[in-house]
Amino acid sequence: MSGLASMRPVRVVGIGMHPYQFPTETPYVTLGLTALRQALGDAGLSWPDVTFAAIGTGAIGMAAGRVMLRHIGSTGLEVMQIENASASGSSAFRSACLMVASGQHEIALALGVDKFGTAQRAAHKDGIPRLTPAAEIPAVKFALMARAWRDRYGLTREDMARVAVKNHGNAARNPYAQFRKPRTLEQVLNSNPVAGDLTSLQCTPRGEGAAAVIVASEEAIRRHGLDRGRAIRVLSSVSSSEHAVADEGWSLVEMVQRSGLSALAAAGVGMEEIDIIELHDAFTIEEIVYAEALGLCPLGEGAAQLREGKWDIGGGGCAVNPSGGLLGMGHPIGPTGAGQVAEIVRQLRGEAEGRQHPGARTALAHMIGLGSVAVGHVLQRD
Amino acid sequence: MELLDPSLYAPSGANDGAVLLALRDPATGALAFPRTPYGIGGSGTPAEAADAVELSGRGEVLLCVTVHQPLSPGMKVPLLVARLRLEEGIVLDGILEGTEEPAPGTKVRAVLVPEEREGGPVLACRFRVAA
Repeated sequence: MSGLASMRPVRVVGIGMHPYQFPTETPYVTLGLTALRQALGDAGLSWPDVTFAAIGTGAIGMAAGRVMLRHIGSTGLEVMQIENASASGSSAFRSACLMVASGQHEIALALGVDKFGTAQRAAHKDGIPRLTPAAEIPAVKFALMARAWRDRYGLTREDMARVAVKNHGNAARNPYAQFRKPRTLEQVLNSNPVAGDLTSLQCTPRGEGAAAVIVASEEAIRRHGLDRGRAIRVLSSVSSSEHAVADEGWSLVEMVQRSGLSALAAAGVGMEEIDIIELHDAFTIEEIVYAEALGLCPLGEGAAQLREGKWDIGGGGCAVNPSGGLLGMGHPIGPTGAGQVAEIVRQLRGEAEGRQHPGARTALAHMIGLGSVAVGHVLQRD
Repeated sequence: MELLDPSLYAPSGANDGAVLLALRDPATGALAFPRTPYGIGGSGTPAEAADAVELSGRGEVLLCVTVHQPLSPGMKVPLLVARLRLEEGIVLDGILEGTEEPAPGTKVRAVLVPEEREGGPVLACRFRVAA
């Protein structure tokens, strides 16, 4: 784990998205290049200016980056493909940041892209039979977590459903989101039951899409005459995986807490300074549990904060998942972490039209991936 | 009738009861289930250096949920999935018999029940509320 404090400053200078959508016949190259061209245009850079590309993908296959990037120009740049489950895009972004921070490159690209349906999980190849394969399914795993939080903290079905109401509402205002409809509490609660208290509108959809983020050194910003006012500083970048904890503990939650606090400490900011968090809400229960673990509120008080609207855009506190999160914006795997960063950059620039969180200056992007791994970044505008 | 997963469990010898097959670290006494060829993850002890032990299959429910949708091919719903703490202290996930969610703390035991599979019926391990 490492922050960026002891290295060269890194700033996000360009972002681009292909909207997340339900699976189509569109080739992944179209998805990825759409996001890339938008990011280059946003930054005011040309493709040959970029000398490193990290491609985050979980399902496309070997050499996805080269196959895609040759269509915008074979410039000889360094290309690396990164698979880190749901955190693939986050890890691609971390790699791009480290390449610039370490002085290996001046301008680097993180691009997440994925199509649904061809990913294979290593857990299915470990040669170990399971007593209950069903418990390995994320919806079941998080339904059990929801039940634990109900038993420990009195979390209700309505409390969890409010996460979906908020995030679908945010997504309805996000042109890059897969779901564009606001949902009522009744609609969320009455959607199809999936597992335990989770209903279908409390589970992330399957989909595809792309997200691109370009980072640059201060020197590159000066040399290319980029708009420094729109360049958002990356204060920290951390990555880790699960520790073993006592049998009744939730090692996933411990990992979220440890990695999130580490990202904040490395950035030298406290949670009270965080205006926006984008986090992994593939299932509603996750947003409440992780926000508490990250220290946004005391343990067991997340539901009350949601009820009071404190996690809303313009709710007077820290906006949680203003993009719509994985529940509303979508979770195409490879792009998701890079898409979080793109949303945060848009918010910190004050350019999130229709869903702008007022006065946002500092934000945390936190992602987990199957396995489990965690990746955290703190970003700040000057 | 053959067992569905003979590397995970075996008949206990008492009616339809089952024991679970585990590893124990001889240095620490730590248990690991299932009994994998890779050893004990917590300590890194290789399987050949660990003791093969049987777990009673008796324990209590910590959490239980009903799966309402067939989330994987061949899954029959409704299905009760429970997190259990066995008498030996190990925590694992198992499938409960029936469709009524038992309360946390309910005592259960492992049993072998016939289940239809391609190629004929097999004995699968499920957990039953203890009388």
